[in-house]
Amino acid sequence: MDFYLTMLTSGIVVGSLYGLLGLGITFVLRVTNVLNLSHGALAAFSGLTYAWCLARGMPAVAAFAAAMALGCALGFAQGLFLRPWLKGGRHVVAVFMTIGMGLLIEGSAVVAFGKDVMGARPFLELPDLRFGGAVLTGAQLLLVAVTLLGTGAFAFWYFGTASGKIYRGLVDDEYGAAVIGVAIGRLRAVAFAIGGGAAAMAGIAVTPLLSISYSAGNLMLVNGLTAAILGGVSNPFGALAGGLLVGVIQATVTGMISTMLMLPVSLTLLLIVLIVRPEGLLPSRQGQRTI
Amino acid sequence: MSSRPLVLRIGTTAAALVVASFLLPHTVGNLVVLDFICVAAIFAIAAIGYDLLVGSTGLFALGQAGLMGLGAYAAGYTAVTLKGSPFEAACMAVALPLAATIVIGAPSLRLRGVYFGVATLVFSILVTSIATAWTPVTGGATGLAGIPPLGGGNVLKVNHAFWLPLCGISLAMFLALAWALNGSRVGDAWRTIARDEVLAANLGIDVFRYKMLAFLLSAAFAGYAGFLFAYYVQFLAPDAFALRQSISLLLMVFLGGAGTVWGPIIGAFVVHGLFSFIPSDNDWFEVFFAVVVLAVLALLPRGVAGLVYRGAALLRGRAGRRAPSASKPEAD
Repeated sequence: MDFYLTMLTSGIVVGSLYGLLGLGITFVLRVTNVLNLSHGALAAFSGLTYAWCLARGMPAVAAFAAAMALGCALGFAQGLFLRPWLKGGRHVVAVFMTIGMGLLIEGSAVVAFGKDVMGARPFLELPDLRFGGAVLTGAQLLLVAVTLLGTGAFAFWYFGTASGKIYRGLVDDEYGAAVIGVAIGRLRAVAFAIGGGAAAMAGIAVTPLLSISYSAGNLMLVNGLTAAILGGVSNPFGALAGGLLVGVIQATVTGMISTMLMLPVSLTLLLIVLIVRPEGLLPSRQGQRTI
Repeated sequence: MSSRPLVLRIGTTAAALVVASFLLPHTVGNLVVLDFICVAAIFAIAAIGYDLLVGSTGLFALGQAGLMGLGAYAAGYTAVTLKGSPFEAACMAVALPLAATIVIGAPSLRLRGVYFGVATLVFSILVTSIATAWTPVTGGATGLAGIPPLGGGNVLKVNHAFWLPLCGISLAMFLALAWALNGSRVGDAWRTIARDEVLAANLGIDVFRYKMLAFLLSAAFAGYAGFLFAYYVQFLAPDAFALRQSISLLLMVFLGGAGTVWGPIIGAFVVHGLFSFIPSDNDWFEVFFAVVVLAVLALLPRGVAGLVYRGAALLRGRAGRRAPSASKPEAD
């Protein structure tokens, strides 16, 4: 029983990471119609920045703030850079550009931090949580808490505030939003900044758990995408549900068979969902919306 | 423009490629250069196929290296384990990517948006990770060795007097096929879809069928290129078909000129040259690669071919006419 409980816990921990990554990817995709393929690289770069700052003796809170600010700034810069292509409706070129940006961020990480694996202590020390025979360490608990609080805060902002309402309007009807004078270009750039912040938060929270290196972004991107697609990109909470599902399935398969299968399992799962039910497991209430 | 100059242009270009490929082994003695030309020509075939999908039809896809890898491993498995002939290997190398294309494309191409692109991306990564994990069939991370040499020669010394014409004729055939299609009504349908899918559907174009056709063609091109690659290098490793290779192919398409069909050949030679002479283990390599990708996408939206077309228009004194935009490349 303990074995299954442990598997379930580790599945929920990685799953919440995937959910947080997926939430950022989904939000940027819904607002800008661009799939940001540099999302994983952003998360890895922020995590490495956080670890680097800690290693230089900065207090954890300051390192956290620096890495978060960097993630947001990089996201905002992306949004500004892509503006001409978004304005011209050339979204395919914009998506290809995010690949180049991901490579640029990854390459910059090599130049700035080297190729070594870096670890760090969590930015907030939480006590270990024991239940049954399973243990949730403080760092794991922090990751789950960050995801839940982050998703909650996002939901409150998106559904409960005036600025969130503007974004909902933009997602529903871009043309209508433009007609009533919404500054679409600026809002899209800010959406990229919010996405960058979400990526940074995921990267910072996972660094104490996984000791990441410059290339960690690819895996984060794939798993975040899996979470987003599984949950259905048209539902803002789909990513969290999708992430938890992927995490638990992954933990079960790797726990029972082999850790070698971690990537093939999530990729196969994603491919099956894309083939059988591309709109995701949790469709939106308005029905299918194809972005 | 009438179709007669197009036929002429395709004919002369293909003939020039074939003649050059027969002459080169006897005029160039440098093995490094001959080797470079062969590999660049193989990648050019995959890049032309990719261009039909990305450039002409305007779809977001990232799986070309995965399809090429699938073809290469199919050829390698047929040759090494099944002891098949090169012809059988070539058939397998084209058939398997086509089958994969149908499985991936049939559901995801019906939907608009990111689903198709994500499916191709995932497929590409899956090919690499299966090639690494499935050791009995693919040789695993150590690679698949023992593919028999083609056209005489041995593992250490390739017979270029055979290989250059083979690559040249293959490239000429695939170029002619792609160029003829791109200049026909099929190409018009692709470009209409690239410009506006809803408009294309309203004009009576079967959007799904034309997208699928482009995807199938790109897979056939990639599979055949994979077959050539497997027999040329005689050794396959998963790394050769990683996502990075898809991005390289993408760079070949956009640097040469997306939607022009012949542009990607130039792109293939330039990009392959760029990465052959710069050590990839340098810490700055990835930054350099990324800057090249971004610069090409931002500054050369129609690539080298766009510059050529613009130059030709200037020479013909039509400077006042605006060059066609990136989303509607010139079809000739």
